[in-house]
Amino acid sequence: MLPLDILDKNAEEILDKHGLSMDQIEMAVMIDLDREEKYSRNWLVFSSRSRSVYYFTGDGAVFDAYDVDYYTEPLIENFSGSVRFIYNRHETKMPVIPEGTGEAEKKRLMDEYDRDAKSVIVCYATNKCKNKLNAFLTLIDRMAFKGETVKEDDELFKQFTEVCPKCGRSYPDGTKQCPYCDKNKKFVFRMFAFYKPHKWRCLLVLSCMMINSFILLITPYLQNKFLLNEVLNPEGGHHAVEWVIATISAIVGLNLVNTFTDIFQHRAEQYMSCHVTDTMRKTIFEKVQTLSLSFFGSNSVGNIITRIENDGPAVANFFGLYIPNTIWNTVNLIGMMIIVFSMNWKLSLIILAPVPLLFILYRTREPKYYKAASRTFRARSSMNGMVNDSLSGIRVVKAFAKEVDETHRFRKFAEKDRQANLYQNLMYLSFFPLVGLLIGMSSQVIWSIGGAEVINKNMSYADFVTYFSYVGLVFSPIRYFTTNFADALNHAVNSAQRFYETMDTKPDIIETVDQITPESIRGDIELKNVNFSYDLNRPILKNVSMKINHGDQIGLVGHTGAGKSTIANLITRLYDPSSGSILIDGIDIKKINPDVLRKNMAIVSQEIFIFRGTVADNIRYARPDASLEEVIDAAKAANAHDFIMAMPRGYDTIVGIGSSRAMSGGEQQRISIARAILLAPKILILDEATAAMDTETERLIGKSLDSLVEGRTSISIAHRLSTLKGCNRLNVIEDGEIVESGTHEELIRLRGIYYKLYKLQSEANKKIVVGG
Amino acid sequence: MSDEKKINVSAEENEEALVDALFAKRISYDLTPDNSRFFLSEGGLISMELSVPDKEKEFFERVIIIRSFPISNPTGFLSVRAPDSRGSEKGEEIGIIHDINDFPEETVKIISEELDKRYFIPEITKVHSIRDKYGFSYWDCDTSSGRRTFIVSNPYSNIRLLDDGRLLVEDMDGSNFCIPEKKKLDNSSQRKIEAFY
Ligand SMILES: Nc1ncnc2c1ncn2[C@@H]1O[C@H](COP(=O)(O)OP(=O)(O)OP(=O)(O)O)[C@@H](O)[C@H]1O
Ligand SMILES: [Mg+2]
Repeated sequence: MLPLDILDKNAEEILDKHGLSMDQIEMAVMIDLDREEKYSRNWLVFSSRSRSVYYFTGDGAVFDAYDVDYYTEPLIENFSGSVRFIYNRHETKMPVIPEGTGEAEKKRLMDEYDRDAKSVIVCYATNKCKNKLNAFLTLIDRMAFKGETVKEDDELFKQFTEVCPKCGRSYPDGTKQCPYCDKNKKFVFRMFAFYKPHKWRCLLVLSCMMINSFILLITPYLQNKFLLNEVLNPEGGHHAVEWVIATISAIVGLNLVNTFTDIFQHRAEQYMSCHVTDTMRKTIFEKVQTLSLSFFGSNSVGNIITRIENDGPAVANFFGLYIPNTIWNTVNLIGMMIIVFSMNWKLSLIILAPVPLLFILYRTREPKYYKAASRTFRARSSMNGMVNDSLSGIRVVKAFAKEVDETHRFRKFAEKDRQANLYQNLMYLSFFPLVGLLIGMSSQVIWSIGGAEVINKNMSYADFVTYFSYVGLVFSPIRYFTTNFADALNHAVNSAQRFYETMDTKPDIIETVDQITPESIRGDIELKNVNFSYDLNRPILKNVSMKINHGDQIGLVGHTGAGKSTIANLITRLYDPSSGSILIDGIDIKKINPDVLRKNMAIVSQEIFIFRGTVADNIRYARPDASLEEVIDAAKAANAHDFIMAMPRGYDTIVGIGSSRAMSGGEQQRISIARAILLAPKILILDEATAAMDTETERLIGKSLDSLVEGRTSISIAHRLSTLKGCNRLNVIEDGEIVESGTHEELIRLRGIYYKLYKLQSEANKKIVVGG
Repeated sequence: MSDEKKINVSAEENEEALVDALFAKRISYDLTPDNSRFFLSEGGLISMELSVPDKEKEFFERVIIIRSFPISNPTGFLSVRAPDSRGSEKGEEIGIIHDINDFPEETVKIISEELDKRYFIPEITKVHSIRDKYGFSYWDCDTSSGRRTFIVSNPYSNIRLLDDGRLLVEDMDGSNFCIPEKKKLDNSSQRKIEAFY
């Protein structure tokens, strides 16, 4: 059996019952939905001996056979989240069309054959099974109709057998991430890596804290017990004025030391916290830059901005400020507990009384804290997103006079943000007094019991005062752990999760290990059975194959939305094909060092972006080291020089979003053509590069492009067919497939889609002439 | 001479007819119970008969029915399409059903069933467990289609709360699950999904 899915015992029994032995079955796919779209284990198997596909349910209730000679044109319909597999049933076998039949006759015969066909549902399946189902059908086609013998090590199976190199488990469908290995390191440990460069500062903070802690513990003793009992008390051993001065000086001295260590500690903390925040922000921005476009498809700009802006600092703060505080409080808590228990353990038990209560209180609030924190994030990021959206589209806003509506929209988002923030803060604030109450009550209890002890002379007044000042101190760490700390912890965990979610996202475009760095690129391009989809439920490119020799000038035409830009995206490797491959100079594009690729390939994209900066910087974007002369030459070739010179500051004029100098559509296109020309790439892709220009300017640029593309491979995409005049081959794309291919004359003769486009455009031109 | 001219004219006419044929596009009708009948085909798919006044009756062995507003108006503005010969899924629009409830009960039943299958979004009826492991969220749930375990990557982006209070979860394979109303779930399930609201 071919390695798609392995039949289980139950399935084998059912097959056996229907007289099919295992050696007749070539392959099987587990289908995870039944015909009512309920989850279950059903099977689709193929036997080449009987030339049939069998579908049967796991309970054996349904068992259908489909003879592939009568059931043809398998179709996988993409639903949202699931697929449906249907066949066309014919009453007769496919007619044998004799050699030499004309195209038209062939089509007529096939249409006739198709007419009586009836569609039948074979099965439903979730997206999980989709790839295997596709492979299953491809294999049937190859085995039953192309007469191939398929081996177990066929290329096709590679996609199913890719496993995580660490644990050997196969990846979940459609990803290259191993959910088991990739992210099981606790973020706390990963966070410490950020503090490594600051280890001496950490040490400083820790030692300052220890000194402070010591001073804090010793002061009540000096102040209360020693001063009252030993010095001021006439019966004490040090009843003298000198001792008063000495004790007070000691206290002042300690205070002084405390102040300085405090200053050192906080300065070091702040320094680290700012540095780590900065590092984290840079790290996350750098990471975001490496991610594939699909990441930006599923995360709004607002979301990403909020991640960069808030999450890094939140986590850094937690580690920079709260971790030291926590250590400090822990040390104090332990030290003071020891002291109070050694002074009077019975009384001290009362201190512990509210602790379990506080703990329970905290645990019940925790999920709410967490929820509040993520809600705040969501509200903040949708607000950021809205602002970004509205400002980027300010032209449209103004054009439709929507300023007031936008303000209203913003108010709604801001209101949500306010509510979420308030909710989060209030929750914390209402918890705080509760803690205060509990703690207050237990200290009152201690007061009364202790007071009675003093009156009964079981405890000296000084002892009692000392004891009580320690008790007061013990409550401060307890209070800290149940309020400030809990809040910060939740906040930080929430942010850290998002931080690492971003950090752990793998780009879809994965650089392979066995990378090749060719010296130079000739410019041969080949697409081999390329399939692609942006989102899983809708295939965009279907089995696209084409071969472009170096120096060729190829034109791509087709209806809007046909997939032309998508092909350009794949060749420039903004995305990787979901199956099939793209070869450049015969090497798989995935194996070519991306730097080499970028240096030798330029695209003038349909969506032009002018960065905020000078005109010169915009032209130099891909090659910042270009000399001013080269910049001017490139601008001249793109016919941009003259209009640039008309700008107030020439090449130093600041352009782009948010600048006062806006450019016309055609001017922007010329800037981006200059950008591409400057790179002098071996492969040039022009996606509607001159669509916004008048015909004369287009001609002029066309001329300079002609001299530029000489000896280079160029792919031009255009709706205006006159743009493609220089191309030596045209491909017509329709619905993600190449449907026609050839020279202009050949395509005209074909009378297909190209002819239609051509006619339409020349008719339109004629009309203008007639009308004028 | 005149003969030659005649030939030329007819060639041009031919040409024009050809161009017209190229640009011919179906007219999309408002589909009502008066001009269209739907029934279940032998193969379990939806067939349709279109009878527009002044036009020949048309029969479609298989039509595709797509919701225009799958979320905001699932029963209105259904686009009925004829798949083209290459098995493409888009096809050409035959017409639009403004509201499916205008049709006879039997039609409503078969079309609703077909749509439920096309827009396969099982409802989560009980959450057994949700485990988070740094970036991935592992769900084990009872759904309207049976028990299912699935993995959600990037929970912050793939679990969305819609304005109408529905929670939409998209798993790694692009399958969707939804929780129509949190309140309808049992307490322990509610607690597990609390954080997403
Ligand atoms: N980032 C994306 N995510 C999802 N779908 C996309 C994305 N980009 C394009 N598409 C879809 O892919 C299809 C092909 O798009 P493409 O941009 O390749 O068309 P095109 O042939 O360049 O059209 P045009 O002539 O209008 O530029 C379109 O239907 C489009 O909706
Ligand atoms: Mg395009």
